[in-house]
Amino acid sequence: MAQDNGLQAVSRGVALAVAVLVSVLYLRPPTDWLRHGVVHVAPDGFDGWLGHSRRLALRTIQRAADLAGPGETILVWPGVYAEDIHLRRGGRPGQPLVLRAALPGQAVITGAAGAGVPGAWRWRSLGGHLYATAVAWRVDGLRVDGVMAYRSPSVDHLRQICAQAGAWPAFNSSPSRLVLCLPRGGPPRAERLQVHRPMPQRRRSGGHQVASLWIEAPWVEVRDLRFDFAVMAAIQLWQTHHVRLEGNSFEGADVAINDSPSVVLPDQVVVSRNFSSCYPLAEWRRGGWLSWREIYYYSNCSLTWLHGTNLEVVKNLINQAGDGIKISPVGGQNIVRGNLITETTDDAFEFDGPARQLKVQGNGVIDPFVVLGVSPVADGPLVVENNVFVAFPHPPALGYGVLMKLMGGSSRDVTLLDNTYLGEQIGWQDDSRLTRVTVRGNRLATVRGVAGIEQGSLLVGPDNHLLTVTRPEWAMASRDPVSLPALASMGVRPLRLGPVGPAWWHAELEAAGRSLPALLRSPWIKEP
Amino acid sequence: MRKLRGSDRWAIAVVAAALGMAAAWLAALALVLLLAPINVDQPISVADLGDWAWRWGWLLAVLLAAAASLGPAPVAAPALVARQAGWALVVLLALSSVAGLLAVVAVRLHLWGSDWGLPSRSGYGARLAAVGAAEVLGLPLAWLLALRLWRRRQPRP
Repeated sequence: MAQDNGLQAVSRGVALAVAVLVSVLYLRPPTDWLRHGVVHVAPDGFDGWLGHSRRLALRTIQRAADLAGPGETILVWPGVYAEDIHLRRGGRPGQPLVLRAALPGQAVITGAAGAGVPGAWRWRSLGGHLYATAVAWRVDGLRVDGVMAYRSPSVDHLRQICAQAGAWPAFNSSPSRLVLCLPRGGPPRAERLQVHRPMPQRRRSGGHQVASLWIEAPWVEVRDLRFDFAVMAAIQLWQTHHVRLEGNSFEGADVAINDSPSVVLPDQVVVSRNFSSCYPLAEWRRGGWLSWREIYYYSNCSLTWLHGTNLEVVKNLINQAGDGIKISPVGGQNIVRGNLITETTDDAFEFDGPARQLKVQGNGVIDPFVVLGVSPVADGPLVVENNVFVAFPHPPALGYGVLMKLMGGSSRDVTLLDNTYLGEQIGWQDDSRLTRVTVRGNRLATVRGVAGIEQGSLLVGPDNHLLTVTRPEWAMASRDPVSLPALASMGVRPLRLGPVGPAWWHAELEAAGRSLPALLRSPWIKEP
Repeated sequence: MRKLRGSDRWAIAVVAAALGMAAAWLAALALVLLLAPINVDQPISVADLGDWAWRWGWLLAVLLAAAASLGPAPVAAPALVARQAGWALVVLLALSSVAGLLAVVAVRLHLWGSDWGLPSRSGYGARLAAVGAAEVLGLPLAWLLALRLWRRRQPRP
């Protein structure tokens, strides 16, 4: 009996100790002293470990984000991570929380659903390279052989574009049925397909709601990661300040770095040496398969959509985008410098409302639809200086090759200074009221000059160097400025652009970079 | 009354732990379902509450298992354990809902969140308050219900 009582007392003691221990764990004790400042994450890890070494790494970046604190680095080892991550614990001044790849470019955060999802689809042929299957949710994004398929607005439209010459993979989806166009290599096989995870109904402008990485804490750095096939935004700035996003690659994101809507607009954001692409957006257009309008509604495909204060967007490489950089700072000192933007189906730079204290300097833009969407700039001053903008001739009906889009609201306090521009026309004006919009000291070689701008000759004064070119001259000069001696006599010189994009990124090794080497060798740019 | 064997204590401990863990995950799921329709800016998912559900689940499981099976008293009836786990779920959801409602009132009266640039400030406020309440209440609630279970099964003098 006495032995029983003793045993019970021991049991009670052990139970009490375990209960206290579990209670302490519930309160999340600080365990950073065990980790020596680094939390390891690896595909073969386990979330029950502390992540203090590669051997005892965690499995998910989210678990690491829940553990790590100021001054610590979350080191992500090579592999694919299918997660929506919320960074809720940030750093402190001088002690940022760093999230970075252990080997630059080899840690991938993907928005793709598991391989089991397309594996469960049962296809039946509809004829004409079309195949249908029942699905559990409306498919918003689909890849075939690793390349984004075009999202068609209706089955009838899909049938029509699928029958056209030069067709690429495309699809249409309702909440219960997916129809896929495979112009080559059908019928569909699961191992060729990747699909987005489920998401709320798409809204083209604002309120993306879904992101691969939510940054909800201040003093954070994100480096050298690949954000692949993101569902809407890749990075959402939610309630943060002092953020540095450097050396990352974004492929297929609707907006790579977004702050709209946000709890509080971000302050002190640096976006530096990233790569962003929505390949094959430009390929769909290049062969004449899809019209500009069909591609325009596909996606924003922008590197940034930022509205905060003290924003710095520098030395990024953007290829095959909708709008290249969307930025509307509401205060502070803001700079967009040394970026290279190639092949856009909308504006290379879009300002949508305020553009307070914003300088756009030393950027290269090659083959945009429109260079500057200054409509509206409700609040400046916006200064655009020392940039080189080269539009390529496309079929005239598309409206390509405009320097300034002046529609959708007033534009005020905008200065264009010492830029070089080759394209169709200087402005495209609908209803925009211009107040203190100054264009001076620029070299502007165009087919149609100021046609289409109200009082264009007053806006673009005599202190600019103006040259009228024919379409064949434009086509020739867009590839090589030396071929048109009149350009040289205007003082046109190549843009000196330092390194752009992540240091680890090589265009020739990437599917999304296939069209880039030719553009990077353009004589319009020196030492890309 | 038949004498209790060790295996009886083990069996009820396992049942109590399973019910505790189930209550925690049901609470997380119910919170997600309650908050999903009003969270248009940042949709909530089970994963957002997964970390909390595991931690509260282990806490509730350990405390209920100990309270139901240890000590000189007979083990608690499974129905009694289930009732305590049910209480944990209902009380937590009720208090979290009250916190969410108070947050909505505070946002509407411009006492909180007036600097948020969101289309649905009330929804976001309700979410912050409800999830915060579940986190704060989790620990005392688990201890309270375990003590209740422990006292219920003390042999009467």
